[in-house]
Amino acid sequence: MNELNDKKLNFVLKFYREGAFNPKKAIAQFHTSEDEPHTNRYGYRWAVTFATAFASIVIVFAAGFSITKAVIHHNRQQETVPAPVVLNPDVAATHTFVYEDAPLPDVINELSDYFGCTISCPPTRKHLTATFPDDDLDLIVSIIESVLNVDITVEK
Amino acid sequence: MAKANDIDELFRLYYRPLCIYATHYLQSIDNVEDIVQEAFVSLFEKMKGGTAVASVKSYLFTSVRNGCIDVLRKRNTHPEEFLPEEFCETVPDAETVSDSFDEALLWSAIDSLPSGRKKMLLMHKRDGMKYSEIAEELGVSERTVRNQLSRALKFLRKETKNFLLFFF
Repeated sequence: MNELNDKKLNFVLKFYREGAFNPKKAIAQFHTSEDEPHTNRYGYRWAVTFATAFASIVIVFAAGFSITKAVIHHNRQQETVPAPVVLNPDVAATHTFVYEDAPLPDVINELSDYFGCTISCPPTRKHLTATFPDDDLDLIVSIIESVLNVDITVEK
Repeated sequence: MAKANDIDELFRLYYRPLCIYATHYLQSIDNVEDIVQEAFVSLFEKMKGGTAVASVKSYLFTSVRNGCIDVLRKRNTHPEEFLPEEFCETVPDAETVSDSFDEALLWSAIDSLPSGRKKMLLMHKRDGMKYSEIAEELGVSERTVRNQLSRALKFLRKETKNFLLFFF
């Protein structure tokens, strides 16, 4: 028996766990965390910078507000409702939803449309990478809630 | 400038070997994925910030190694006795890096085994169970166990033919 490579096999088997060290999962996790605000990363320095910037913006905005309001009111055009984003146009045929880095609000809109109910979630910049069958909305919602750690409300 | 697909490719190339490398240091899989994720985040920040990284592979393995040393320092009840030089002698690094790539291939190969064969492989090679014990546990014949194990090892051999073959 080749001692060296039995050693490698034994090492791997000793620590092997199903689903661990999965690069695809890690990529999804990396991109999800990338979208979250990094306010904790630099702490105090960022808090001060952000507060100063915010204060400046508020002052400028207050000064220009009344003028802007008048101009907009005068020039107001009929607003167009943006077309809903469709990420899975053939789900009725494939019976599968495939999401790759899809913004959660777009996912929610598509599901609301497809299942004919009102689904909502708090404002978020989170993105979803996942695949679901189209037969169980409750299951889909619970998966999204646990993967992205958000609260989703469904009104049927 | 770093793009999203670049980092994905780096994950595909290095994520699993890095995790296994960290496991060599920590002798457990706890904390490993956090340490490796952190290394990628730090690399990505550097790339985004415009810093040139001469060797991505070196950077990642060094980051992970440092992350492991931090964990070990915290774990060690007598931190003043913990000397990184001492530690490094027991886990020679270049060899460990290279082994981690081979072991990552093995890990992926085991991942793709059908679940029955995988289970038997773990029972036999990891848990040290005899064929008869495995057969009894799973309610199959000893011949089935022998067959399945032989196929499992044949598959692993085929998948990892890039490094020296092992013989059953």
